Amino acid sequence: MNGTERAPAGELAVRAEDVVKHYDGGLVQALRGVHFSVHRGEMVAITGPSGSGKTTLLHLIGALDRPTSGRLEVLGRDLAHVRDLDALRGRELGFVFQLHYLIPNLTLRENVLLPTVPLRLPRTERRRKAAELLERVGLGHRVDFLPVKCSGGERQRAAVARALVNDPELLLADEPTGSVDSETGARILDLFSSLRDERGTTVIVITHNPEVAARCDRSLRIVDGRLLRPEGGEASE
Amino acid sequence: MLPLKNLLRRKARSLFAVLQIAVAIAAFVSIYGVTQGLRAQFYRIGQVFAYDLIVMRRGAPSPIFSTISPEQLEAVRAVEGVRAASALGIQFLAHPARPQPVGFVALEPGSELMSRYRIVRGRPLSPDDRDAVVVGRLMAEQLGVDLSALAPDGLRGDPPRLELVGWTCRVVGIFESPLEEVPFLSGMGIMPLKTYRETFGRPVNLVAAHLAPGRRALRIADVQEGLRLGRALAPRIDAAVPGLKANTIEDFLDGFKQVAIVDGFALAISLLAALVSVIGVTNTMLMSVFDRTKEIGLLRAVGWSRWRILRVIEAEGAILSLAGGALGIPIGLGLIRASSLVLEGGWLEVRLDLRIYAAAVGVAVFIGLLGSFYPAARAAALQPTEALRYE
Repeated sequence: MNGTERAPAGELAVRAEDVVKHYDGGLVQALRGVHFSVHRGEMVAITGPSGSGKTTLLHLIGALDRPTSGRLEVLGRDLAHVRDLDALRGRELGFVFQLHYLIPNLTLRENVLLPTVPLRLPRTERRRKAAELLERVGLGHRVDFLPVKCSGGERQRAAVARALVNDPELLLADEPTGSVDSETGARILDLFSSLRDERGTTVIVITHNPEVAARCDRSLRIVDGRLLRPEGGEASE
Repeated sequence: MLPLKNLLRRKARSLFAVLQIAVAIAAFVSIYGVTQGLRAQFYRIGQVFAYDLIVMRRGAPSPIFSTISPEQLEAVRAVEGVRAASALGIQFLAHPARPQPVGFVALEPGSELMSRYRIVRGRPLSPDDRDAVVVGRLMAEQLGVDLSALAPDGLRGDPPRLELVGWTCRVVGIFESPLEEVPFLSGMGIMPLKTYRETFGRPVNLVAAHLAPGRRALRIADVQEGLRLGRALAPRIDAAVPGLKANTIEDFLDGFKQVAIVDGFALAISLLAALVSVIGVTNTMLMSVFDRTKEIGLLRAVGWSRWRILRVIEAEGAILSLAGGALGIPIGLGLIRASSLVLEGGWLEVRLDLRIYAAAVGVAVFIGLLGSFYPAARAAALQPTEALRYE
């Protein structure tokens, strides 16, 4: 499978089996055999202390990196066998990072359009969609503004719009509310919830914030590279 | 859109990169404009000399170092197929008021070569002249020769004196270049061969062996025919007069060491300038890639392939190079103009045609693409996760 075809509808959006990730030739063991699954249409929080492996796990799910060992299926595909991870990311995944990573010399609309560049969609359609999404995140009046002219909250909302421009089936958010005020954070979570409800988008959110975790359907806690059961034991799934 | 905006984001840095490329292109345009002009001038001379063989001492590095004895001159004249032969000397003399020496060709009055210089004022050299010269129109202008005695139909009174270091002569006539488009031929003077030999004690440097006296090669076919006849006759002269080598004008110009040296020098300077530009562009683009590491990570995360990242960075290099080319060409033209104001004598003919402009643009694009290749490859090789974590 090359990652450009839509996966057949299935129950699981993510399935991880004994996923291990080492860095520096094994000196750093970021993940030590993680098992879990996320159903399609779920909104799941991954919590844990700093350095526990949350972001590493999110990057693996997001096909930004490959596991050292183990099996990881995303949207019904075993990532080890997906040749074109770029296309998978571009077409079916959306990313929101703690930092907005907006390109400063592009307007908000141009930033939102970046994921659509490889897709060869008609320009007018892309521009319309970007404007709609910016409107939806409350930035309809800032479409042609540069990021430097916007507040921190507005920039993060623009980053959310960028993550949604390709109608992702799986949205991955790494501390999406970590650098914004509580009101903006609440708006972002409202948007995630509505996406899950309206489109069945699967949302995985990494957070330190218990309030954010409480807004999700369930939470997975990761400590020292291992996933814990909700009651504190180590999770097998 | 993105490459251009990226460049405009760091205006000063981009401007310096453009200037680096512009300097290389300016060097390329000015050097090649001049050398091509020089080469073209020599080849147009070929139109005048297609039916001649230039005979010089075998192994002489340049015409100035060639010496031909009177016996050898007579032997050349005796070769079957040689209808006439003009002995020729080359002499440079210092002028008290000029930094550059004044160039003279020594010819026998009435010789075939002499007849190719059309006298437009005063009179031609005569066999009795000793301290008399005719000078080209351009040289007369540069030396400020008083033309009042030099009427279009002959001399009117005493011919003007020409004071040179160690020799004073009189200018009895003004000639026009035998080929109007080759101005430097009128930037020199002609002295009698007898004076050259007896006053300066100089030997004959060259002999022009004429296959068809009075005939000019006006068309390309004439040039080709002259060269063909000359190539057939040259071995006979070589065989008849040991120690001499007969060349067609084509061979003579191809073997003209100075032209080859100038060509090589031009190539070396252009390559050096291009290399410095490539390093400059690489440095600029590398800094730009480092600055944008997180952005590149983001682009990779949202689905941009390595190939697309590479193309964006290469496009930035291409834009820089085109801007550098656009700036460098006029700078090069300005340099040529400035040089031509400094150098007198019509020696600096500039020849700029579309091919040189196209080559300049090609060199600029080459500099841009080559200079940005390593930064682009480095950007494309970034792992998204590493790039997003880059500090």
